[in-house]
Amino acid sequence: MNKYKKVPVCIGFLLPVFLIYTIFLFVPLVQSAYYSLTSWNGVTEKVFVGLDNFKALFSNSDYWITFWNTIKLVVISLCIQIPVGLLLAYLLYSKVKGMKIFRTIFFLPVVIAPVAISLMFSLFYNSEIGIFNKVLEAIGLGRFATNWLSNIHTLLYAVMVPQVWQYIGLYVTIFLGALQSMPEELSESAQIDGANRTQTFFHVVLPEIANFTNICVILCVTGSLKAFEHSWIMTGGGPGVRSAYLGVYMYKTAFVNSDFGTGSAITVTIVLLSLVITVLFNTISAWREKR
Amino acid sequence: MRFFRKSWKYQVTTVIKYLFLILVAIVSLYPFIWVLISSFKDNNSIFGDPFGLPVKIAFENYKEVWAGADVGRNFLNSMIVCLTTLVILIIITSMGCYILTRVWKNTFLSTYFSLGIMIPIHALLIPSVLIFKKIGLTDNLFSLVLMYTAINISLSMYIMNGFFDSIPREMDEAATIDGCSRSQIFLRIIFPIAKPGIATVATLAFLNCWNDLLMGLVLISSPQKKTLSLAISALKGSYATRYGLLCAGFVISIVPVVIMYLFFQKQVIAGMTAGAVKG
Amino acid sequence: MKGKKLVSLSMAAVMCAGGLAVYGGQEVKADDKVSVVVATNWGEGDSKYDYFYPVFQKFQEENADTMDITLQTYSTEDYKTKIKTQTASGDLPDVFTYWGGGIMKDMVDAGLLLNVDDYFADSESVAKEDFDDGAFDYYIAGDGNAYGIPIESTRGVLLANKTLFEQYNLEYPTTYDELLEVGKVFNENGIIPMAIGSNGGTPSEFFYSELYNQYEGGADEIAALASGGNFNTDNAVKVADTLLDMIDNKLFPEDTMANGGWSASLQLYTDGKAAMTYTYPWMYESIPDDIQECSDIIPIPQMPGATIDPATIETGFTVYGFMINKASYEDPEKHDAILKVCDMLASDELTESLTESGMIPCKKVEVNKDSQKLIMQKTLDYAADKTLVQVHYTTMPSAEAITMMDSSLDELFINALTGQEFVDKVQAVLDKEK
Repeated sequence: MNKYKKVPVCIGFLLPVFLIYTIFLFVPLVQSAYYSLTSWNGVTEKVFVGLDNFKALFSNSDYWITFWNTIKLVVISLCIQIPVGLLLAYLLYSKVKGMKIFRTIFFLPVVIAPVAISLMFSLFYNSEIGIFNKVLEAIGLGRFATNWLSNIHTLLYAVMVPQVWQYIGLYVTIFLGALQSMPEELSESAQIDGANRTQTFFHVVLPEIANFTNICVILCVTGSLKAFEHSWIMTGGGPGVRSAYLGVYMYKTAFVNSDFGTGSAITVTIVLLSLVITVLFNTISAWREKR
Repeated sequence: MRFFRKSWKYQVTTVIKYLFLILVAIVSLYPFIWVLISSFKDNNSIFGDPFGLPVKIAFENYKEVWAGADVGRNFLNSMIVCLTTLVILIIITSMGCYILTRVWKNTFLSTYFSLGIMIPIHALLIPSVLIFKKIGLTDNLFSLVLMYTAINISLSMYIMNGFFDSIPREMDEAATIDGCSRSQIFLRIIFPIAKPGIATVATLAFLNCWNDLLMGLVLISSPQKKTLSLAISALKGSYATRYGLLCAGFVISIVPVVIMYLFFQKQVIAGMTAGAVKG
Repeated sequence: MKGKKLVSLSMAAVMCAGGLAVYGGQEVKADDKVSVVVATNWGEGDSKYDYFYPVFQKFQEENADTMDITLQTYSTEDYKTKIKTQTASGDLPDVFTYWGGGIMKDMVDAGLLLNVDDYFADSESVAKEDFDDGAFDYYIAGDGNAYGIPIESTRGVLLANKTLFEQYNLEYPTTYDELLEVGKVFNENGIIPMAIGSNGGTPSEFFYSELYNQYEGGADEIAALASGGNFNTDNAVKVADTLLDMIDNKLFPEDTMANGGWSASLQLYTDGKAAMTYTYPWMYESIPDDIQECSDIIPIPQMPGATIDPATIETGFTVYGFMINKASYEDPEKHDAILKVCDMLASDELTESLTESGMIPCKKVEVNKDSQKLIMQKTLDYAADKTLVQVHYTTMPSAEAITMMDSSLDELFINALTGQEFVDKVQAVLDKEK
C-alpha cells in the first residue's frame, strides 16, 4: 500500500481519541504537575516554590510509610489477584456446566460499591460483634484471633483483604475473554499430541494469552498504586497513616488539609512510579519474547 | 478431553473442581446477599446482628430512598450519561486502537495513551472543573460524558490492544487484496472479531462511569442533574449514617449493572461464534 | 457500503452528544429573577434534612416570583470536597453551612467571607444578641471578627446504664480509682466498661478534651490554642498518659478502630454490651426508647491529679453554622435576596424546627422540652447548672493539626504511641504552620 495514502486514514482515526484524551486528561495532569511546584491552599494565590514540596515530602516519614504500604499492596495484589483470576478463568474455560452463571457470580463483587464491602468487612473483623474470630475458633485456629483493625501488625493487611478480594472477578473476566478468543484447535491439538492438562496450560495456553497477562499485570499494578476507597472508608488511612496508601495520603493532604501543592506532588510521584514500573515491565516482557 | 472421561481420577478432579467453584461462588455471592439483607434492616440490627436475617421484611428503606431523593430522575441521568459515554468511547478507542496496532505502530503514542490509567482521579478534580469552566460547560451532563470518556480511554485502549493484536494479520492482507479500504477492513473484519474485547471494555467502562462519585460531585451542581451515585451518597448522615437506607440505595444501583453485564455476556458469546464462522 | 455504517455511527454519536448537551444544559432562567445558591451538608440521609427541607421549601415557594434558589445538599464528606473545588474555581455558593476555627481560616484570609456584623446591621429580624454568649467564638478569626452565624451547639455526655450498674451492685464512679474498680467488675462479667473507640478521632477526640478540662489551667490552655498554637503542655501529656492507663486497665473495647466512630461506639452501649459511653446529642436518634429510659447522665470521674470538679463542667460548643459569600452579598443585585435567605436560615422558625431533630440551638429560642426525646430532656436538665468548656477541635488553629490530632489519637488508642509522642506529633504540625 502506498505510504502516503495511509496518512489521512491514520489522522482521521486517531484524531478524536487523541483530542479528547489530551484536553480532558493530559492537560489536567500537566496542571496538576504545575500545582506540585507551588504552595497552594486552594483558596489564595498560588506561590511558586520550585521543588520545595518534593523535598519536604521525601523527608517526611509519613510519606515513606504510605509509600511502602503501597508497594506491599502492589506485590500482594500481583501475587493473589493474577494467579487466582487466571486459575478461576481456566477452570471456567474447561467446559464447566453453568459456566455463564459462575462467571456472573464471580464478577458480582466488582459491581458492589466499596463502601458496602468495607462496612461489611469492618463488622466482620470487629472482635466484639464480628464473626471472623468466631470462625477461626470454630475451625481450631482460635489462637490467631486478634483485634484485626487495632493490632499494628495486622491492620494494614486486614484493610488490604477486601480490596484484593473484591477485584479478582475483574481478572477472571479478562482472562476468560482471552481464553475464549484463543483458537480452540490449539489446545485440542496439544492434547491429541498427548500433553496432559498441566502441560497444555503452561506450554500452549499461557504463551497464547501472554498479551492479556501483561494487561492484567499493568492493571493490577496501576490499580494498586491508585488505591483509595477501602482504606479511606474502613480506617481513614489510620491509625496515623498505618493503613494509608499513596492515594489516601494524597487525598488527605490535598482535600482534608487543603495543601494542594503537596497533594499534587504526591500525585506526580504516583504517576512516575507507575510509569517506571510499566516501562520496566514492558521492557522485560519484550526482552523475554525476543528470546 | 474425551481421553480422560472414563477414568476414576477424572471423576474425582471434576468433583473437586465443582466444589471449589461453588465455594468461590458462595464467597462471591455473599456480599451482594449481605447488602440485600441489610437493606431491609435498621442500624440497630445491622450492628447488633450484622450477619443475621432481618426480623421482618420491611420495605421502609426502599420507600424512603424513592421518596427522599429524586431517584427516577437521577437514574435516568446516570443511564444517559453512561450509555453516551460508552458509544463515544467504543467508537473512538477502537478506531485509535486499530491504527496503533495494525497500521502505524508507535511506541510513543501507546505510552502516551497508557498514562491515563496511572492518574488517581482526585488529581483531576480541580483541573477538570477549571477546564470546563473555561469552555463554558459548567453544571452540564455533557461535561461528565467527556470526562468519563477521557478517563476510560487508557484502560479501554490497553485492553482492546490485546484483542486487536491477537487477530491474525493475514486477514488484513487478504482483505486488502480483495480490494477493501482501511475503513472497510476495520468495520468488516476487525470490529466483529474483536467483539469479546469490546464487550469487556464496555463492561468495565460502564462500571467505572456508573459507580463514579467524585467527577459527578465536582462537575454537577444542580439537584436535577445529579447522577444516581451522587444521590445515593447523599443518604449518608453527617454523624450517624443509616446503613440500611444506604444499602437499599446500593441495591437500586447494582441491579441495572448486573442486567447490563448479562446483556453484554450474550454479546461476547455472539461475537465469538461470529468470529469462529469467519475465521 | 460498510463505509457508510461508520459515517452513520459517528453521526449517531454526535447527535446523541448534541441531544445530551441540550438536555443537560437546559436552564429555565427568567431575567427578572435573582438566582441564589444555597448549599448545606444536610443531605437526604441526615436527620436534620427532614426538619430543614419543609421550611426551606415554604420559603422557596413564597419567593418563587423574585428568586431562583438552588439548594445543593451533599453528605458531609462529599460536601467538604465540593466546597473546596468550588472555592478553587471561584464558584463558592452564596450562602452555605460550614465549619469555623482552623477549617475556615484559608477562606477568611482570602477575604471570601462576609463579616457577619455587616449582615446583622442590615437584618431587621435577626440580631447578634439573639444568640447565646460565646456561640460566635468558633467563628471568630484572628482579626477578632466573626465570619459565620452559628446554628448548632452541642453538649458532651457520659451515659451510664442504670440497669447494668444495679445488676452488679455498683455505684456510679466519681474518682479514677472507683472507675477502675467498676471496670474490673464489669470486665469480669464480660461487659465493656466504657464504649469509647477511636476511628478518625471519634469520639476519642472530644473525650480527650473533656478530660483535659479537669486539669488546672486546662480550659485556658485550650482557649489559648487558637492564637498561640501551643499544644505541647504538661496537661496534654498527662491526659494522654491517663488514657493509656485506661486502655491498659481495659476500660475501653479491645478493638478501638472497629468500634470507633459515632455509630459503632454507641452501638455497644445500646446493645447492653457496654455499661457507659461518651456521646453527643446528634446520636440520640439511634438510642432506642428502653435504653433512654435506663440511661443516666453522669459526670466523668475525676482523673488522677485533676483539680477541677467534673460535676461542675461540661463540654459545650458551637458545631457549625452558615456563612455568607462576601462578593455575592456586596453585589447590589443579589444583596436583598441573600439577606432574605439568611433571615430564613437564622429565623426562630427554622431553629425551632431543627431542635426537633435533637439539635441544641445556638440561638436563644424556647425549646419545647416535652416534645423532645427523654434522653434529650435528661441532657438539658443535666446541663442546666454546668459551666460550658471548649474542646480542642474548635480552637485548633489549622485543619491539618485537627487531622493529625485525630489520626494520632487512633494510634494512641491502639497503644502504638506514648503520650509524649502523641503530643509531639500534633505540636510538629502546629510548629510547621507558624
